[in-house]
Amino acid sequence: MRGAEGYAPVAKLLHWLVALLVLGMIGLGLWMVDLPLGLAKLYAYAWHKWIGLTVLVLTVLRLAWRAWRPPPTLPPTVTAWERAIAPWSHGLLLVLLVALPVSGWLMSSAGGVKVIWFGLLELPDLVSRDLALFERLRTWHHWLAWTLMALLALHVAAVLRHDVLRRDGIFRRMSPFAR
Amino acid sequence: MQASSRRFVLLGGVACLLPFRALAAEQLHIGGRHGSIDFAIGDSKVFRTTGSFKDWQGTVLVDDGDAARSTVAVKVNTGSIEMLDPQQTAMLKDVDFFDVAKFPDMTYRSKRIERIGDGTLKVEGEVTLRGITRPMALDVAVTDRRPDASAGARYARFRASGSLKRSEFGMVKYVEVVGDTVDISIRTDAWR
Repeated sequence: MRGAEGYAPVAKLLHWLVALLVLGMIGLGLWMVDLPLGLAKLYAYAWHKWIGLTVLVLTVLRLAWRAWRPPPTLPPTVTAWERAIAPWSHGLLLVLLVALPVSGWLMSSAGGVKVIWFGLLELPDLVSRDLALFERLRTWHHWLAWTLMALLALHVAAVLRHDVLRRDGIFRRMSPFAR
Repeated sequence: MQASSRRFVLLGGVACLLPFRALAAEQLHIGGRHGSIDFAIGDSKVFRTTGSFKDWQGTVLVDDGDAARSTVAVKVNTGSIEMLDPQQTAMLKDVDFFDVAKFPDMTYRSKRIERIGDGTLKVEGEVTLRGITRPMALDVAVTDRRPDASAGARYARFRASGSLKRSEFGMVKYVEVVGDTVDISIRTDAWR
């Protein structure tokens, strides 16, 4: 079967980098919150923040790339309702990939914990120390993360629906191995 | 600012230790009711966090006399330490850090006070924590001074900052990761 028009290599690279990091972040985030206080926890939180901010940078790059090179058009096999919701679900994923690291950064600032990116770059505090604000931000970060996980499950389910059930080659558009 | 206020003197501590000249001094109170003691672990690249003490009080005397003979004394309830995370708070109260069951108080006493500028003072003193006494200097700024404040009213605002090494007080846990230097920042109203 002829594949649909694919994404550019840069878009693919950014997509898969973010995908790997986000999967790691979800695992790390779920694991670290229940750790007893110790070095493992301190390092887990540090890496969670460092990788999260990396995702933020990569997502900003992706948004810039999308603005410059919009995604390829969907193939004709995609139905009208799928065509209608696809941009919204992709847009919401990108919004969440910005909102999660920003809410995490805000949390760290409100909690009075300075973020030094990979121990190299000291980031400014976005807000001053405020434990009540921290608690609100923590609730936001929690629900944003669960929304992202739910949406990612739908994202993967949609790919499976296209490529396993219908075999319409949607995955080839983003496949790292397809031209 | 009046010339007399530029000769501002910070005095404190136990009344019987004061020189007789200090009888003209203003005895002021500072504490957690009108102020905060915040601290930050300052030299870590991985984890740089902050906390505060909620319950503390001190005595300050203000005089236009001899700064060099002045004292200030503060007592902090170590059990009132508060961090962002309840686990961290519990850990700091435990034996590896403040050991609050054994050492419920931390004290600061000035040894020498020097006026270094208009409304700024250098206070050299000693911190006693976990039964260990070490020197700590504080840079103090005095603002909004109101010599005519009535009893129970605010007299001035103080901001003080200093730092210490926690390892000197036997608090060495995670020192290689979390850092040793602790920056301390005090903001308080002083009232009559």
